[in-house]
Amino acid sequence: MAHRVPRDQSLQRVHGTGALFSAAYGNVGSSIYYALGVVAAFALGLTPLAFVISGLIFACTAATYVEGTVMFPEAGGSSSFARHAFNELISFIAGWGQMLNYIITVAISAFFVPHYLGVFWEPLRTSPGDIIGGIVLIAILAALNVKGSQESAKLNLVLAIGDLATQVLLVIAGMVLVFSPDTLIDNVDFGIAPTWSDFALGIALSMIAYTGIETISNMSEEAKDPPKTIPRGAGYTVAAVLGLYALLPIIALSAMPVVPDPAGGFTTELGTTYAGDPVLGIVENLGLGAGLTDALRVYVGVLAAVILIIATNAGMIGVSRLTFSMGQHRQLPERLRQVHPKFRTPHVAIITFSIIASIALIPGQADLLATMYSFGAMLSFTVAHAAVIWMRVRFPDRERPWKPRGSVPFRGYRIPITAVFGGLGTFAAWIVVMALNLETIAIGGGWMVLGAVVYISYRRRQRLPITETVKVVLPEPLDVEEVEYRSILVPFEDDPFSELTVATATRLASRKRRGIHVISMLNVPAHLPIDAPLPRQQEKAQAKVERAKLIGGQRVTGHVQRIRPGQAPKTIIEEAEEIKASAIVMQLTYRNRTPLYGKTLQGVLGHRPCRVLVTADPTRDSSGAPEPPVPV
Amino acid sequence: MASSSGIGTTGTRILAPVIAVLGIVIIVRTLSAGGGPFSIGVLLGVVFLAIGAGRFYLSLRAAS
Repeated sequence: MAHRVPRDQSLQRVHGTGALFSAAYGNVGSSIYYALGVVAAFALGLTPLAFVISGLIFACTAATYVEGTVMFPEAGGSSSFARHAFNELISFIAGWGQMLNYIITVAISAFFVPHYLGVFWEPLRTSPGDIIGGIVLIAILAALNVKGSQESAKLNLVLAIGDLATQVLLVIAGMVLVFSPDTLIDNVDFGIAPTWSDFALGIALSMIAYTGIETISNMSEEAKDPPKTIPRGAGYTVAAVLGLYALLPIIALSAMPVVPDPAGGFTTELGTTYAGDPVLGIVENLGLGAGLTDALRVYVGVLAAVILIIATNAGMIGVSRLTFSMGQHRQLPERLRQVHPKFRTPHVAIITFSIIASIALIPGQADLLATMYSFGAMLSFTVAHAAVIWMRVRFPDRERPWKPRGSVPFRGYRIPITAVFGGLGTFAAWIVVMALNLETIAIGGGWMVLGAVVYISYRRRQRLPITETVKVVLPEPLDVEEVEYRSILVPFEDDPFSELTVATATRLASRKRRGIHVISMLNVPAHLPIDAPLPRQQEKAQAKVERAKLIGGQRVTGHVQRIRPGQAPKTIIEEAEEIKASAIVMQLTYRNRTPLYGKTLQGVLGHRPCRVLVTADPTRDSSGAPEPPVPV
Repeated sequence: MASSSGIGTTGTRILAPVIAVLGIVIIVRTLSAGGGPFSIGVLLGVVFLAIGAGRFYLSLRAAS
C-alpha cells in the first residue's frame, strides 16, 4: 500500500543544523586560503580588524539571505529576491553580478591550488607555473562538468570538518607558540601603516573571505524545519568564520610582523612572500621543529589544494545552475543554456564561463581577481539587502517564517536593521573597491555593460518586455498537492523522455535527498548478450537520467538497467520494492494523439507494488514539442 | 515588445543611478588622494551625484 503523507505534515527533510553548518563552512572556509595574503598586503597590521568589520557585514548579509530564502525558497539568491521586490531588470543586474562572483571564484580558487601544491614542486608557486596549473585545472573541471560529474556530499562534509579542525589546530598552536600582543600593537601605525585608503580597500577585499555565503540559502529546500535549522546553521557558520577569521590573521601577523620596506613603506611577509599560500606561511613561521613543520606543510598543502579544487568545482556548478535559472527567466539567450545532446549538461555555459575564468587568471594578479570578486559580490549583496528592505514595504503582511532581530519603524513599516547596516556596508565596500582601483571599475563596468547589452538586445529580439518576468514554460505537474510521497520511482523504457513525468514526481516527492529514483531501462535483444556493447542506446538511456537530474536537482538519483524485451514490468516492480518506493510515476505515451496503454504500463498496474500515477499529455506525441514562452 | 518610450524610461532608470554612483566614486577617489572638500574632484562628484539622483527621482515621479 502506498505510504502517503499529508503535505502539511511532511517536513521530513534531511539536513539538520550540523549538516547545514558543515556544508556552509565547507564553502565559506575555503576562502581564507587565498584571502589572507591579499588582504594583508593592503590592511597590514589592521588585517584582523578588516576581517572583523567585513565579518559583521557578512553576518548581516547572511541574515538578509536567510529572511529572503525562507520567504521565497527558490534558487537564485539576490536575483530571486530582486525579482520579487523590484523587477526583472534589477533581477538580471543582481544575477549578472553573481555570475561574475562565480567566475572569479573559479579563477581565484584555481589560481591558488598550484601555490599550495608547491610544497611538492616549487615552480608551481610562481608565475607562469601557477597560471598554467590553474588553467589546466579549470579545463579538467570543465570537462568533468560537461560530462556530468557529481559532487560527493559525504566527502565534502569530511573535508569541511578536516578544514575546520586544521584551522582550529593552527590557531591553538599559534596562540601557544607565537601570539604576541606587543607585536600586534607595534604592527599598526594609524594612517601610515596602513594608510586609511589601503585599510578601506582591505575591508572591501576581505569580503572575498566570505565567498560561498549563498550556500546557506541554496540548501534551504533540504533543511529540516527551515525556520529553526537555517538560522542556527547560518549563525554557527557566522560565529565560526568570524572567530577563525579574526584569530588566524592575529596569529599570522604575530608570526610575520609588519616591517618597513626599502621603498619607504611598510610590508609583511604575509602579503609578499606568502601572498600565494598564506596558510603555509603560518605553518612555516610557527617555530615548530623542522620535521614537524615539513609534515604539517605537506598536510596543509594537500588539504588546502583539495579544498580549493572543490571550491573551484562549486563555482563551476554555480555558474551552470545560475545560467540555467537565468535562461529559464529569459534573461540570457537560449544558446547559452543549451544542454549537451549526449551528456545533457549545459555545456555551452560551462565552456564559455570557464574560458572567461581562464582569461581572468592569465594576468596572474590575485589582487585584481579579489577586487573583481568584491565588485560583483558587493553589487549583488547590496541588491539583496535593498530587495529584502523593499519586500518589507511591498509585502508587509506576507508570512515571514524567520526574521532577524531588530527593526526600525519607517512610515508604518518595520525595516530590518541588519539589512540597513549590511546594505550600507556592502554599498560602501562596492564604492571603495571601484574608487580605489580603477582597473576594477573599468573591467567590472565593462562586464555589467556587456550583460546589459546582451539582456536588452536579446529581450528586444524576442519581443519581450525589459522589466517584466517572462519564464520558459515547463510542464505543470499534476495537481496532486494534497499528498507527498517519501520516495518515487520514475521508470523510462524506450519511450521518449517526459519532462511532465519528472516534474510531477518532483512535486510529489517530499523534499528529501534521493527522494526520486529514475530507472532508465535499455532493452537488449535476446540474440545479444546482456552486456553487449550498445553505446548509442546506452547514451540515450543515460541521457534520460541526466535530464531528470537537471529538472529535479539533487534529490534525483538514477541508473540505467539492461533488460530483456518484456521484462520491464517485472524490473519496475522489483526496483520499487527494493527502494521501498511509495509511488511510481509513469507516462502515458500517445501516438497520433491516441493513448497507448502499453504492456509495461499494464503489467505495472496489474501488480501495483505501491501507488501508480500515470501522467498524460495528449498534446505531445512521441516526437515532443518545444515549450513556448509565455509571460508569467 | 518594448516601445521606444519604454526603452527610453528603462535607459534613464539604468543610467541615472550609474551617474550617481560615478559621482560617489569620484568623491571617494578625490578624498582618498588627499583632495579637500572644495577640490575640483569633490565638486564634480557632487554634480554627478545630484544629476543622477535628480534624474532618477524625476523618472520615478513621472511614472507615478
